[in-house]
Amino acid sequence: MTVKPESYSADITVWKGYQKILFRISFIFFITMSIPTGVEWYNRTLALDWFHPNYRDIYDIARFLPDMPFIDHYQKGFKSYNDWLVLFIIAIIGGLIWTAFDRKRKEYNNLYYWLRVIVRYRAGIGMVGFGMQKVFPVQMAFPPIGILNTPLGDIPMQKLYWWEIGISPYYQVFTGFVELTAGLLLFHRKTTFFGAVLLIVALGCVNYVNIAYDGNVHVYSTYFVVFGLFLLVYYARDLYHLQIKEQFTVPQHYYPSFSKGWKYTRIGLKSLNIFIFLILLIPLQYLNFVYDPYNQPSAPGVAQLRGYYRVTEFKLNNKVIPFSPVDSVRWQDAAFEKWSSLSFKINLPVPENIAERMPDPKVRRYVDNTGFGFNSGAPQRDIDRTYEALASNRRAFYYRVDTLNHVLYMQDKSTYLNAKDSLRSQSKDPRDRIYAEDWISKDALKNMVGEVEAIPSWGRSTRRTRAYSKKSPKDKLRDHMVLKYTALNNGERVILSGLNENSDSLYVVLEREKKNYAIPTIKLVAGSKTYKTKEQ
Amino acid sequence: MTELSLKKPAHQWSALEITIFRVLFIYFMIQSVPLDWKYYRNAFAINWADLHYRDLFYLARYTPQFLEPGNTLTWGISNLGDWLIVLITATVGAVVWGYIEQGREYSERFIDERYSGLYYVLRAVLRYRLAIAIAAYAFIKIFPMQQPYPSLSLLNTNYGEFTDWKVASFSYGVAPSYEALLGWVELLSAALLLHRKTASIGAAFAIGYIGNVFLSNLGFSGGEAVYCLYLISLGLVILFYDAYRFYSLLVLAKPTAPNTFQPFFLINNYASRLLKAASILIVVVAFGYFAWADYNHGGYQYPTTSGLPNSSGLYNVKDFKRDNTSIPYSLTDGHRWQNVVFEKWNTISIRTNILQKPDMHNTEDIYVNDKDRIYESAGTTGRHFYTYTIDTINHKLLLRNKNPNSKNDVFALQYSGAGTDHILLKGTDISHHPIYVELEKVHKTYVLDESVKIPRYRSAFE
Repeated sequence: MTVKPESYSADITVWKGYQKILFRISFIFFITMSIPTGVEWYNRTLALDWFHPNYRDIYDIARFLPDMPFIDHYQKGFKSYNDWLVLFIIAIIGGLIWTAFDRKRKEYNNLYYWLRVIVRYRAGIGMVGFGMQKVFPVQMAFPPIGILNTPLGDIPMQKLYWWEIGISPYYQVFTGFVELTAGLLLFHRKTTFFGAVLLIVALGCVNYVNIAYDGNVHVYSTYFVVFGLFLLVYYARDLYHLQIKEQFTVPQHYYPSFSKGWKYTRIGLKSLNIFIFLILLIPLQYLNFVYDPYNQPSAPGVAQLRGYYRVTEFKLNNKVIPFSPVDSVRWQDAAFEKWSSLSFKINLPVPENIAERMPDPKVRRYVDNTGFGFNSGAPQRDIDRTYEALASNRRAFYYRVDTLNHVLYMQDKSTYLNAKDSLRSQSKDPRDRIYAEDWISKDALKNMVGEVEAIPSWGRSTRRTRAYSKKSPKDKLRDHMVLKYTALNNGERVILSGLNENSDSLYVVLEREKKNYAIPTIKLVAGSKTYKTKEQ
Repeated sequence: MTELSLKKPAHQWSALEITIFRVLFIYFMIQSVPLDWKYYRNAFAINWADLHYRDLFYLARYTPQFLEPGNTLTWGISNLGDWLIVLITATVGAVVWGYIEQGREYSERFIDERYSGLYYVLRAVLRYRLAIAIAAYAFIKIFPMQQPYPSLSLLNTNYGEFTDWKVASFSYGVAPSYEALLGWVELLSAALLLHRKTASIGAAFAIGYIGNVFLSNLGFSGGEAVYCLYLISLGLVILFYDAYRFYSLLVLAKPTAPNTFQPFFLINNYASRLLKAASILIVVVAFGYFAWADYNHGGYQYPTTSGLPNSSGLYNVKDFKRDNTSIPYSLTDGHRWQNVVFEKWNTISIRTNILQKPDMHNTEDIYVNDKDRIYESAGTTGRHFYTYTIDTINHKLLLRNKNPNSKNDVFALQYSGAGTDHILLKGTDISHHPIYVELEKVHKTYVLDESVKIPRYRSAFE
């Protein structure tokens, strides 16, 4: 048995020259990274209605990235990190100037302490925000009926990963707890090391998943990993000496001494943080989970229509079209979700090599329809929540319903980016009457539940109400249908008749099919208090 | 500055510590050192002249199994009952051990050296055991084979017609670079485990990683949850040695003593290092080479025998006659086929309105022979999978259902038009009714394929 005769203790009273330079650069870099630099953040935070908040309002407080003025923004690829590069160059220049003016300084223990506090809390609130959406499993939704009946090859890969997590809510809850725990550990100085490790592991995965599956938060997740790595640097030396060099290690830490005023400020800030990101966020996230799950539409669908249907009869302009898997007009099936969506399968062959022909407007229009476009959790209106809808050879419509006359007013979930379509609303052609401004008559509106009121009042929020009160220019690009429905035998047999998107007369008979899916059904379902009636 | 006392007294092993250690020592030795005779039976059944990755894979996936008879084709996975038997054995062993040592007068230093030494030995054994176990799974991801890209038949199966385990599998299969990354993470933790000083960091890595796999197994009905727990338990023993040190240094921020135990080797230090390096090299090279060889042959999940020449694709069933009567397109008729997929290899899959009772296979198994490769047919209800042999003289396909729940589903079909867009199949189905099937090729572009092709680092949408 031998004991190494050395011990190790870092001298923090005098820093080495390179340490001071690195610190100055890091300080400028991380402070700027931790402060919202875009105007958008201030606008939305000031607009926040604290009396009717949405979980997303809180999440958005923690959602910002460095936003440098005068440069372009990109969604994909290395150039989407361009803000960081600019910031990094500014930090280097600033750090060097600082070095020139602050030569006598021996150490920055106090500043380093506070920088770590800021980085810890910045990363912590982000992680809590990420984690909560999975602890109450809403981020990854269970695939809707339409998707359960869509061939795997018709689903873009981004959806595959997200739905995979969606089919196992308990696994999602677990991943949420990992992120949440990382956040909570970062709020506490002593547990910072473990919080940072968890952060790096969790967000490292998120980062690569977003690159590999073409998601859209690769930059945002890298951001947190960089913060985590910065926090770990602090421990690296001690850990190396204890574990690799096997030396007796005496860690040296600097703690500022707090005056009384500071003490109260500190307690106040800490409490405010805990209040907003735990005490307030938990119930808001719960309300979102049960009333307004943000990745699926929340207005309940017509109760007796819900389920998967075979199309047993299909008439277009009074002409019967027999079933054929290769026909491009006839519906092959229909799926009424428990929320207000109807989707149907149709043969719309995908053009060849669309991946290589992205800039081609024809292909682009097609791609938008088939689900390459990824939508984030931001949309508030049901019609904009396309996460559940997109797959090729399937079209999905959002509907509002006149419950007295049994009429569905349907709007396409996807928007063809075609300017011509926006003119339909002004068309004088009587064929286009379903595209007129008042395509839903005042009488019909009287028989409808308002879009805002469609969910129980506990689920409503100012954010959601505001979204519905705005007119979206995209809505002019949507196809419409107006179909009367007759539900026989409690919806076992449904007849739809009316005008389709080309104003042709449509008559469809649907037969409900009891499906026996191999995918297990789940118990921990989002939106349980909104949809209420059981699934078919 | 704190005054440091650098002379560390011998660790005083309490009676309780010694008792617990004895049980754990025997328990984990039995769990990790191959003592099960069946292991050697299987090892001797290997044809070493024609070695495959599967042979190494099963050698590395050793767990003592008392309750399952096992077979020579695969080395199964132990269950909790086996663990109980090991635990009982270990307890009995510890009692006997205590009895032997009872009444003998040992100095504290002697006890410390003996038990610290045994602790070192135990950790060393577990480190290598865990590293090999992890490496065996790492290489089938580094060469992304464990979760392959979905076959044409799977692309034409509805999402709801897969089991959750299957969904989990192809969700990784569509992103081979992610799968490979996970493999490298596994390999890194295995490498850290091999070095004494980094072992605890490697074990922490492994526990986190396998913990995630464990929960995926629970969350997606996988079959390897107990094996994950087994590996995690090995990792915990390795990590436990340094756990308090980490806690003391990183959380309590107190002066912390390092490990002071230095192993003493019978052979000199350089020789032992050389031996270690050589054995690691052999393992890495062997694993890497045989995994690469499998990968080069298209992986191990799908069969490799060629199918009907130039015929792979999706076919619409344009006409279907049974008993010489044409049945129109129907989503309710029990007999009519809807579409047929010819794979590049000798599998066809048929979609009818009758669901297949799924094969619930949910553990990782590597097979050399095509007939055993069931990845394509396991965990799905939407299609009926047949492996076939071609009689090129009489233009006949002999079809056999791949699903163990449909073993008797065997029939023969006469074919014509192979290699064209129109294939005709004639024959009798399993209930001896004559069938006539007219197939028309569908030239379909799959959105999934296209979305995979989008270059990740190039801006695609601007």
